[in-house]
Amino acid sequence: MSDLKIEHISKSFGSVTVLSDISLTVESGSFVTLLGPSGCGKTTLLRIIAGLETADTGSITCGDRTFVNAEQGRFADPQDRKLGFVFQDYGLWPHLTVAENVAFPMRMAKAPAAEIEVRVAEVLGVVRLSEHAEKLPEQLSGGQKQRVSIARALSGKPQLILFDEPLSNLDANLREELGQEIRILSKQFGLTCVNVTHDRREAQILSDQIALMKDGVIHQLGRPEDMFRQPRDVWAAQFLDAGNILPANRELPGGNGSAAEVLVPRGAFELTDNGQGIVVEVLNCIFIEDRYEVTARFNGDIIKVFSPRYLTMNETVTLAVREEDLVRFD
Amino acid sequence: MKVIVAAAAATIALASVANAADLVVYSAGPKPLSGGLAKGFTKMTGIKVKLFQSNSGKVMARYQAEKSNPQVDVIISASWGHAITLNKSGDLLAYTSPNAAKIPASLKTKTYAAQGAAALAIAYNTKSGLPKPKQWSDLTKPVYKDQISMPDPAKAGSALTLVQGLASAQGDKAWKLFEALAKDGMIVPGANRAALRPVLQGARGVVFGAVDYIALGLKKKGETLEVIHPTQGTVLAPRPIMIAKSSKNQAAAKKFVDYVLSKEGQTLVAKRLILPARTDVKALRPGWKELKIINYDYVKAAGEAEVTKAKFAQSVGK
Amino acid sequence: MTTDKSAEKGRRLRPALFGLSTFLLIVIVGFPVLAIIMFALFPYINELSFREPFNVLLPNLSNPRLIEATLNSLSLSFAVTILSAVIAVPLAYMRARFPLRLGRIWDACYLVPFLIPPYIGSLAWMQLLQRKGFIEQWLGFNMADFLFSFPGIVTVMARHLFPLIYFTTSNAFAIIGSRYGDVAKVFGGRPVQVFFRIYLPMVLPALLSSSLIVFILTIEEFGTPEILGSRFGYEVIVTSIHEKFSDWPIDLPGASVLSLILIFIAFFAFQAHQKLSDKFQTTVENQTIDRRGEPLPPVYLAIVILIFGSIFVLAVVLPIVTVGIAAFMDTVSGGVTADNMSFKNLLGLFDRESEAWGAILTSLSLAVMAAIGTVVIAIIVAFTIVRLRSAATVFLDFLAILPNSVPGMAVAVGLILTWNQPWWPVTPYNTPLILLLAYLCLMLPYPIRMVTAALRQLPKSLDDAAYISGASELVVIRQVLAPLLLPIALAAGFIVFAISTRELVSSIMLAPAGVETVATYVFHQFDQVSVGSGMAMSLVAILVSGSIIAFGQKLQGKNRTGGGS
Repeated sequence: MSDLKIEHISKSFGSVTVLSDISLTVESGSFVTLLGPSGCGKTTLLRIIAGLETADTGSITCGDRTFVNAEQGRFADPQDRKLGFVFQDYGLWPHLTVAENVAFPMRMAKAPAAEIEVRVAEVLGVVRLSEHAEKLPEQLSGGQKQRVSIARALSGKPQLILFDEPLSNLDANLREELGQEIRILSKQFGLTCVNVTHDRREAQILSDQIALMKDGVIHQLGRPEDMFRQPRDVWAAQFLDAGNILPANRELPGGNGSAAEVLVPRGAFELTDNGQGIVVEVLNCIFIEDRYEVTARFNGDIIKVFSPRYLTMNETVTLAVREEDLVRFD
Repeated sequence: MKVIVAAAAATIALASVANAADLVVYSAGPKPLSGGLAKGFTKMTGIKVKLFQSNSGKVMARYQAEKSNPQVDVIISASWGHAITLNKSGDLLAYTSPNAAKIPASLKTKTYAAQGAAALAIAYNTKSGLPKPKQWSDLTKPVYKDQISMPDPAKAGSALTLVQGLASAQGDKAWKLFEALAKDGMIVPGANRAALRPVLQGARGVVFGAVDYIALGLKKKGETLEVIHPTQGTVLAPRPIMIAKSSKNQAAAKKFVDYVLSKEGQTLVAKRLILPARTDVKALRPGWKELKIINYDYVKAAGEAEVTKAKFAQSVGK
Repeated sequence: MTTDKSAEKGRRLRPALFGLSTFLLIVIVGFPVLAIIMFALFPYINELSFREPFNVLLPNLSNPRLIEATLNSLSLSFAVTILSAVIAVPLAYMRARFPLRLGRIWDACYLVPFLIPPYIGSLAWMQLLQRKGFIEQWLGFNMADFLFSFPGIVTVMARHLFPLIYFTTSNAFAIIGSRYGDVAKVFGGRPVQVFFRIYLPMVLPALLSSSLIVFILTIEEFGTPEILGSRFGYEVIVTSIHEKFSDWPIDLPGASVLSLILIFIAFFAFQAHQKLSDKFQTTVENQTIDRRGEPLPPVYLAIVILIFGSIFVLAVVLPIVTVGIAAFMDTVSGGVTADNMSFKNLLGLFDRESEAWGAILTSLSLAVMAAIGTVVIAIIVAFTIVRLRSAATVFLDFLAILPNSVPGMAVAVGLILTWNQPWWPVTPYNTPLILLLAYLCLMLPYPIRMVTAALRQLPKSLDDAAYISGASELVVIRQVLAPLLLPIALAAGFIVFAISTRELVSSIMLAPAGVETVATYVFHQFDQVSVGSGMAMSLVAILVSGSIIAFGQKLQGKNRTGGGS
């Protein structure tokens, strides 16, 4: 496995600029997710890496192979990039069995039949679908289909695996489960992975690094926890749902009016009865996952807060705010 | 599988490599006649005949399309007009066969002669219960209302010949005749077979202007048809046999013309109930003596053909 | 940095495929059509002379009868297309909901209308419905007024052409499957609403594609307008063209000029089709060919079978029975009486002297080669047009529909002009191969249209997944797309086979000496007005090609990918 280096990639479709001078290095063995709203260019970038689109400027190399050199007009064909790709709609060939689907990349590489058989069995075992090898895709569930897709991506021992919203077609439990499996697999085999999604949860489950994209540029790059705790600006904070965005005022710690807005994460509040803190009116309290989430009104803004106990509607409580968790935006 | 297909294709291709010495003949029908003439000729001379047989229009279309690389030696058409056209454009080889001596002058020229001729007649279905018509004008009688079918001069050269002949012999009376027939519900459904078919099937009773040898042949086969040649007069639709000037086999072509106009060839023609061009070969149907032929200037009529056709279309309200 | 040689090879494949498609289409289709256009402009091009250019154009185009003929052609084509769609689409929809086995039988049944040549079908209807026709003999009334009228012609032609729309759209319905309909049903949509608001828009590409070909075929068809239209003075462009070949005088340049009009109409129809298609692009995610359908309650099933059955009786049984009866009649005028029926006509076919057997064999082998050839070419061309889209492929798309717009007679002339030139070192002209070439030219539109429609509905992710796995374009075509296109490819192949066995006009013009096809044989019989013999031959041809197709359908049923329905 080797580093994937993306340098100064731009792409326009007609008069619409979709990608603008993108540069990114995905280190060997790491999992990077391109996260962003629809239209931010993430899928286009993925397709350029895969060879399903060309770029207008820039270059992409993986190890010692050049995938793209736009200035020289060199674009390697997808079949020459030795990639794995997991599609959102699985992309399984309906007329081939599970085993035949998985074997396809090796057949294309003209591997000997015995080797193919061994590898297919191995890979199906890894995704725990060995007993379904002779079935047709239409006989499998969504989650199983996606696992076949992953197995197919792994079978050719690629140097890079690309994912296009692999979990979005699955139901919630499955998403979490398969997401964790993908992460474990990627670490187990030391795979270099690039994922594309608009779902921040998916990004958090899978990635070592998240590249937050907006309007064709990389808005922010970092580890999931860093992005979450220190979003770059209000937009990023909102997209990542990092917490409550409030106008900076004197009531919040450190509120000196110089910052325009402040990010106050949900966990930065603490119920207190010593009267030191902000006063809020409870609007709603629900139990979700494993704790109480409270919606409250503070000076005309609506905030969300975690609470250790149930709070009744219209109750007035005082919350202390941990200053070190705040992020100020100018 | 692929091998079989390739082999089949190759075999078919090889099977028809042309022999340059073969005689190429394009002929209008009837098929048994042209086939019979070709066979007889080969038997007599040993020269193989490559026969393309269709109807006059397609024969001529093929000839015209091949002009840049001509293939044909002898052309036999069922429409005298084609000979006139080709002669005018200098496409024909001048040749007078010794066997043409017994052919009437109206049916031969320096460059083409008739192989035989059809006469235009009235054909009526005896099962229709209609009285037997004797003359063209009989058919305007009320009893024949909605019972007449006529081939379209625009689509059948023989019908055009009839219209031209009647118009030249009777002038305006002929055009009034067509108008009257049209008023009485005469249909003009297409070429010869399209006009004859409804009469055979019983939907109509009478064909005005049937090609007589076809109707006679059907009668012989058992169809309930009767063929009448009006004593008022009718026209002949001669069938020209011509040699293309571009022929590379002129000697063999001439031999073929000789054969077609020989007693043996003309007998074959007669067998099909066509009137043989030679007067000294017995016709197996009403012949030169029995028919009253309207003679008119074929070449002049050919020049006015478009006008005639348009006038006819107008008369029958098309 | 390595960009290997195999990358170079891959990059050469796409232009190679494009080049191959272009080459095939230009040679097979482009040359003859170009010849016709040239002939229209240069009336002496058949002598390789460019003199008197354009002087045939004006006289022909300013003929007042031509305007009426053109309007008739257009209105006829629209009417036939709409009626065919109205018949075909509900049938196709019902078919998609059918349990497997019955569905396959219906498919086979609906190939039969193609086996009945239009002119035979028209003759059969005449025999049935005219004054003193069979219906009048049996039931006492005739339908001559209906038959010899505009609605009559439209009905007869729709009967012949609706299978094209049926097959293309039923395939589309199957690909869409039932999911989308289920969604609508949950939200309260009743079957009729579901049909019109959900399914119909989704099969629109397939519907438009096949409707285009029906439209163009109607414009070009000769037999029915000639036989039925001439009974009430109804002229279309094609009958006007044929008048120029029919007897004397003939006018090839004039015919070419009129063919130009047809080419223009085809061009505009094609453009309209492109614009409409672009508006209604749908691909289906989660593509599976879902032919299972759902089980229908018995009452609905009975109604559906009734509908299928009645269409089958009207479109297939009646004409064939009529042909059969006519085949057994000794004389036409004898009528349908016991002593006028015998095997004479049929036995005459097997007469040593007759060339019937040779004709059947020739027709069958040509038809098989044409079917295989056109389908293979169609898959390559469809791939180029749909997947390698560019401005140039639109031109290919147009070329592909072109032969259907020009009458077979004109195509034959174009083929003669193209291949009978002294400068070719080797030419198929005057060999049976010219017939194969003619069939390829005339039939290519069907498979290309049907396969492109089907290919447009297969999601590109199937291709992409293969490319990324290391496949080349050829592998994608052969191993990914072709198996999924198999059902429509087979249907298209059968249609080509069926039509080739009865192709008449070009066969007559181009058949080398001594070579007969079924159609030319029948034609020669009819030319002598030997109706019975011609009908007998047609009956045999229909039965033989029908059996072959039925056999082929059975083989197809053994196919695993659900092409089995």
